[in-house]
Amino acid sequence: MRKLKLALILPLLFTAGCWDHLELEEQAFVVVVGLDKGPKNTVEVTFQIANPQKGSSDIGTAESEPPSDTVRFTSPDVLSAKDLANTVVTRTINFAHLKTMIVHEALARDEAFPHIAGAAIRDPELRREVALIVSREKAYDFIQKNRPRLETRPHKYFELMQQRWKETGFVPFSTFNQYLQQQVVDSMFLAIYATADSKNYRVSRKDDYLAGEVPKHSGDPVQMMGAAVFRNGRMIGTLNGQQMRWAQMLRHKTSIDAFIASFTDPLDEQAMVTVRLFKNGGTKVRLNLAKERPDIHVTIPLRAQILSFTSLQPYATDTEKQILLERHLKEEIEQEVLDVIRLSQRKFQGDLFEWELIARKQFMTMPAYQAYGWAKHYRKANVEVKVDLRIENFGKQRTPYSETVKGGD
Amino acid sequence: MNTSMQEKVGGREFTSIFLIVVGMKLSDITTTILFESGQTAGWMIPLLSLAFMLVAYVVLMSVLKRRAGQGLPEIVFTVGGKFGGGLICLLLFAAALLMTAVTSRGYVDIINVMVHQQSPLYALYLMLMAAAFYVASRGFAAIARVSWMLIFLIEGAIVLLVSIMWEDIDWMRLYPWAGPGVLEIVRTGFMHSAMFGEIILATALVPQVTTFKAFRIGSVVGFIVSSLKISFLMAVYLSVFDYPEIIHIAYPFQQLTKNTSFGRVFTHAESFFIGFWLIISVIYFAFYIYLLAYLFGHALRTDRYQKLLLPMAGLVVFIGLIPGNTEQVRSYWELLISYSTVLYGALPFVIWLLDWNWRRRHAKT
Repeated sequence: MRKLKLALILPLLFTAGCWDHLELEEQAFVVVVGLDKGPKNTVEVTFQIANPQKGSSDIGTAESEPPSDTVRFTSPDVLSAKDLANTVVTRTINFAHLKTMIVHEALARDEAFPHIAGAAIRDPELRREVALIVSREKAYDFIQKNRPRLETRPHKYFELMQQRWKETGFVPFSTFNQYLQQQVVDSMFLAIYATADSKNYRVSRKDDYLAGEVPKHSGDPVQMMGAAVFRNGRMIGTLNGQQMRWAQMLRHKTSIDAFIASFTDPLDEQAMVTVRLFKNGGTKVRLNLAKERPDIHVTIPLRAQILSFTSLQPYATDTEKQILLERHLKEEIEQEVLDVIRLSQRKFQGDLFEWELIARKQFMTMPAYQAYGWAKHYRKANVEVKVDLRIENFGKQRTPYSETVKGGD
Repeated sequence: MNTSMQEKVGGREFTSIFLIVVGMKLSDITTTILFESGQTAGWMIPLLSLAFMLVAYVVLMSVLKRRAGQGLPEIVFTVGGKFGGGLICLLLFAAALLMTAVTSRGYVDIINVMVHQQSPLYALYLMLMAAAFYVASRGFAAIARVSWMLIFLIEGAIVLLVSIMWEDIDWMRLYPWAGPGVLEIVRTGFMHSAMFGEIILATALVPQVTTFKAFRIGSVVGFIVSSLKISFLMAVYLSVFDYPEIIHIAYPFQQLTKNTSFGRVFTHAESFFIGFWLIISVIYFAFYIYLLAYLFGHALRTDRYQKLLLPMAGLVVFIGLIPGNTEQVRSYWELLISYSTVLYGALPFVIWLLDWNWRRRHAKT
């Protein structure tokens, strides 16, 4: 009897693999998906498929194979392209290791984009943590041109880039999850802006570059800088790297806690002061929603480490000049931050800083909040910015180089 | 009934059964349904529901205390007579059967949608129920022992899940705290109190537990801790996905596990959590199948309820396969919960009245 029972139960263990079995050798792992606008309401879907043999100990058998293969199809949506891909690709297309989705700017600005993105997320293989990048040129060209020198394997490239995005703050750390979260009425979303085409190269004393403008002379053509601004799920404009940093600083929860920035020198027009800024605690946002034009008071606490100043003024030893520098930096930052806020109120007409979460706190019920209409009131809000800046240190050199020269005379 | 032949269950094991069986609701369609009406205050509903259910539980316990050692079926047969007792037992059985069928279908749907998309539904269903039947056929003590063995691992996995996701949590998303309004929240909490209906059903198992005190402590601790756990996890879902996106997500627990990774090397940690989840679903349904057989056996006044386990498992599969798709399962669940709330809420008072009547009659004679 026991044996009979066992004989009945054991086969169950094997049936588990009947319908959904996966053979590892028959999988093609897509690491990057590119989306372009196709003719007649279709999308052009580009798959970059990783070659797992490259960069592994099994390289001997696949020496001449490239690290990845790129294929492009035109189909009604992302998922139907998956099966279509098998007309060319020998293995089953698998999204389980998909990390990045690249969208052409023209498609992101198209009214069909919220539908395409919303439809794609239904597939359980597609994770909500997929990073969303908007590219200035066609996604296909972007993927084709992106040949990082130091990373042979494409998944590694985006994995490491994501870590750097979190640190520098030049681009927002945008995932599909955030895009879908902010698809409500009058809601804003920031996505990474990138290009593989650096024709618009210019030189600036600040970091106010947009992707493609960074003065870079060699290396991988891909640049990721600034943000694509989305409103109601559609792209409406861009923020440059500098503005993006301040936008991140204005959010109550940011991933960046330190970055390097340059400002003009208060004592010398031509010179620049470079500082490393740390967020010294959370950004405080106080709202007064009682009035028709709400008051918003923002306080950003910052710590600064002076890294270099080309004016060679004795800031470290002269207290008066120190105070002057501190006040100057404070005013510069306040002005830049205020400019970003004004831009969001006038040009984008929406709150880029997730202040709606703070506004929500002022209401007891969701219907009351929805009836208030935060986006509508935000546009005409009175915003005041205060920066609490403290200079922490002046680097490992106390007196500037020129002083010792003078002393030697 | 002859329970001396069987091994009795200690308070420790009994508590862990409840921690698993009730806590399981944090991972199924219960949470999504609660968010729909509870909005940003959805996480408060489990606490309110439990509070309502505890009132009924206290009334029922006052009757049980007087008849220590007897379970719910024995008591209803004494105070309600053959007809009344049979009717109450059958009503409870019917409610539990439909609930098990709908919930188990919900679980099979989750496996189908999130993990095995190409496998036919009936095959997944049969496998889940076969495993649950196997555990149930080992007896109540076996379910209890397995629960006790796994409970720390399971709670540990939940703590791990939340700590991995900690960076993505923004508690500000819980505002506005009252969601659709205080009155609406209380109403939804009351309407859904049957989600803790097990607290009433469990009283059938009193004779299986070593002492009445162990039963009382085990059930109260199990239910309160579980409802806190469900409520906390719901707050986590909300603060990761935000309202209104949360109501678009079909299975928040599984979505949350999909976002996890252990460092940069193990990026697909969900298989770890889904594995755990499958093991506890088996225990969950084993408990239910056992309870169904126990209730039905007592309604028919037979001791050989162990023989009913297989038919019960089969019945659950047959009823569970009726709904056409996942959304129908959802609406059946909603309907069932509101009807069972009436049953579980009113029954303790009916039993109390019957008991009071019985005592009055017996005091006279």
